[in-house]
Amino acid sequence: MALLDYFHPLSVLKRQRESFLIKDSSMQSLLKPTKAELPELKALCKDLTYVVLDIETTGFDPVDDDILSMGWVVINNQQIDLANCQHLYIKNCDKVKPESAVINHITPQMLDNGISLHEAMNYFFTQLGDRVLVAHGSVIESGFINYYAKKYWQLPTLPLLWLDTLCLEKHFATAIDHYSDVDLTLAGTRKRYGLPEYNSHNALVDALGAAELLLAQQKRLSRGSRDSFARLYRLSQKK
Amino acid sequence: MDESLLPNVIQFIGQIDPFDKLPKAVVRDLAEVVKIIYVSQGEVVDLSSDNQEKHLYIVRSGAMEQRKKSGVLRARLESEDLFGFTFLDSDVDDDQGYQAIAIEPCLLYLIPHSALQSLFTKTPEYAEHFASQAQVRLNSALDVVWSNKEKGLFIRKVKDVASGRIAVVTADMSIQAVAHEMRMIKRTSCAVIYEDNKIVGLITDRDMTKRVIVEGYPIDNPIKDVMTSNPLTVAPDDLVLQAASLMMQYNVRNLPVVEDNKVVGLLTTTHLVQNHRMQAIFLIEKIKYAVSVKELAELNPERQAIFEALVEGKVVPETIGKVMAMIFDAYTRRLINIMIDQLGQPPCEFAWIVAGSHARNEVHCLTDQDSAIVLADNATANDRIYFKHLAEFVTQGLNRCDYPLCTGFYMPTTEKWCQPLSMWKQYYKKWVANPEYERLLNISVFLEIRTAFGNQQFEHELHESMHNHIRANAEFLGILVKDATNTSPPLGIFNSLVLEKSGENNKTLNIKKYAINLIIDLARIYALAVGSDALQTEARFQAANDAGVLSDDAFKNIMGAYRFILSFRYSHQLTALKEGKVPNNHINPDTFGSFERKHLKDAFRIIADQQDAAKLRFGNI
Repeated sequence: MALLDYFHPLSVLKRQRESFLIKDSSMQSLLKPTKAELPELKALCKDLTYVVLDIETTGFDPVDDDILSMGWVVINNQQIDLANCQHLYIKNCDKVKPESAVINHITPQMLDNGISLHEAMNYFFTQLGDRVLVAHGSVIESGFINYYAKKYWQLPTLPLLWLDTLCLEKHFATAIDHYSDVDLTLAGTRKRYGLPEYNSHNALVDALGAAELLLAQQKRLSRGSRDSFARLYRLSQKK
Repeated sequence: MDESLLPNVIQFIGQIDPFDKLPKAVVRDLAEVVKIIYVSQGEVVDLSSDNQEKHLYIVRSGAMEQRKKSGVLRARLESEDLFGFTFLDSDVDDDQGYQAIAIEPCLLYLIPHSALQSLFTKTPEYAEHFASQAQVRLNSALDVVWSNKEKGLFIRKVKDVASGRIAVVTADMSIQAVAHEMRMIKRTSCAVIYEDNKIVGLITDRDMTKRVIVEGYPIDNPIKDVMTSNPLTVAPDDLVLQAASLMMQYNVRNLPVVEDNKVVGLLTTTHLVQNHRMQAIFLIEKIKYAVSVKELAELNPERQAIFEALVEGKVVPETIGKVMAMIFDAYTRRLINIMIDQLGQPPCEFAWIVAGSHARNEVHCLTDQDSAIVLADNATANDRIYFKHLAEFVTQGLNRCDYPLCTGFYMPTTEKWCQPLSMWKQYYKKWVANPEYERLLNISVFLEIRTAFGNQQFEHELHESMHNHIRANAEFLGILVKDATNTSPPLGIFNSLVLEKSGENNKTLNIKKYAINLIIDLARIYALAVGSDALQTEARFQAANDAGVLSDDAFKNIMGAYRFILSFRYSHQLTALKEGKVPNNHINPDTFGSFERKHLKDAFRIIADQQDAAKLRFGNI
């Protein structure tokens, strides 16, 4: 058992954090979550707090594209608490092309009222603390966040505790049919769970959508939200 | 909070009553404190637990059932429905509390009570919207009161429910010996009595009290002196529904279960109630003890549940109509009795007659009132005032119990339909002798009459005089046939030939007008032709078949068509009820599957054939 625990992705992440040597940076908030205590292997899904994040960008490439907005909601005690949700528009971005404005419904005028990327990131990481970071298709969010940390603060990949609802869904789908060709988009997945249709392409609405999906996915585990978080995390690691 | 923040949540809440009556800014503030939870199927939201903060719940998606602690269903909730706000209304008796159970996975929005309370403290007039909403929700028990499991009991078999505890004795045993057998040996309330290997009687502990103890009857005498002779029995494979119908109809509490002349068990009202909370079956019992129109009207959801159970259980349409008619009768009788309690005993003999589909025992959930009063010929002008009040009270009372008033005013509140026997006889004479349009309409309503209350003799006399008149007037049947075949079944329905445009019922088929009524009319003609007093459509065709007027083939065909169309309509109405819509007779052909198409076409063809046959046989050509 101990050996299995050793190779558990959560244990692996723990060792990554221990060997993450950078203990200091001029942007302390970025490092704070990497120093936080990770959940115990036997911690239950329902006892953890989650921050579900979605970002809207000008494209998929962290190097060439920019973050337009960030939205997140907090799940605490198996409840999404809208009092703690946040939606930030990033200002000083000259890359709002007409095309992406149409897709995201974000206009340069809206961004004028936004805050700087640094302010936004600082705020987000302060809020994140030791909570589990969740995204649907986290490769985008983690890509942009890691690139941000590298570009402005010369930091290596941050050992953050990512949980991915898309990967979870992929696991559920392939568990039933290995070659299944299911729609894994947020909208398509939500539909399968009977969750209401939302007008997407708003970071906060998508974050809320992913958060609701996570609650539904947790109920789908064999023991519901009383299942261990470690199990959920392991399922979410399978690509 | 930013205007654009979570527009989906704000928009959703803002459109729901009573939030739609609040200013946008207030809704936005409330949306800010919303909590969202997801419950999976079967999960329970316990609203009565004290240790948590209380919330008002909004169903965002999915479906829930609200149940009292006793398990009785309170309401069924779907998207946009609210629950958990009894706290807002101090009048609501809620000491028991209730639970909400997800019957589908649900997304729920939770608004903390504290947020609402502080809103109401600041702006008290908002509280009113919520209070009235709570009342409405509680009163509109429109939703089904019985769960599927409970309803399912109707269609279970007697042997699954009955107990094996029953005493079996012989007719020559002494009363005391039988009592000993019941009390000490079998510990049962009921004994079946055999004589020469045949069941001859039944005795219950209530009978013992009534007939032996009260009367001081010698207990050494044989049991056969005090038993109920020729008792009703049921077979193990009978439906619980049939047994319950018997119990209601004959007002008995014990039914021995008999197979091949052998007693195998006992079905009693009490053990049905105890074991299965099957009060739905005892709706009639409840109706009997209701003391006001309000109390009667409160039983409506149960009536609907029974209807749904019958349709869902695929009980034959004939039985559905019968059970629903029994319930309609019970409402009518109870209302008459309530009024008699208020007005005093009626000043003369009378009969409350029901007509049309109610008389035919073909009641469904849309059936309206068709009724009349027949008075004794010695009724004075003063006496009539009494019956005017009675008629007014009963018809209005039934209306409040969701039996709509007759749009054609075929009710005793119309003076013409509250007349002495001799006048009624005159009516029939006139109608049959000279069946012009209006009179034909009158007689087709009153061709079927049945006594719901009062002197049954009047009905018999009227039937007899009607048959005499019809026999004497050879042309009458022909005119009836001509009228009945004026409307043809929609053979070309799928070419949209007969679809009606009426209000909301755009392009639909009126299944009542174009199919059911046509069959009912045919059955009436056949019954009258063979002088049968049968009222139910099926029984009428049967009578015609027995008399050799309707061939076996034609009989089977028309019965098949009738049953198919009736169950088709029942299912249509059931779907409407389940969707919370008002059921109707208008069916959208787009919803037909190929099975329905094929069978409907067959049924229409059979009706058309039978119309032609009737024209040939009875027509005045």
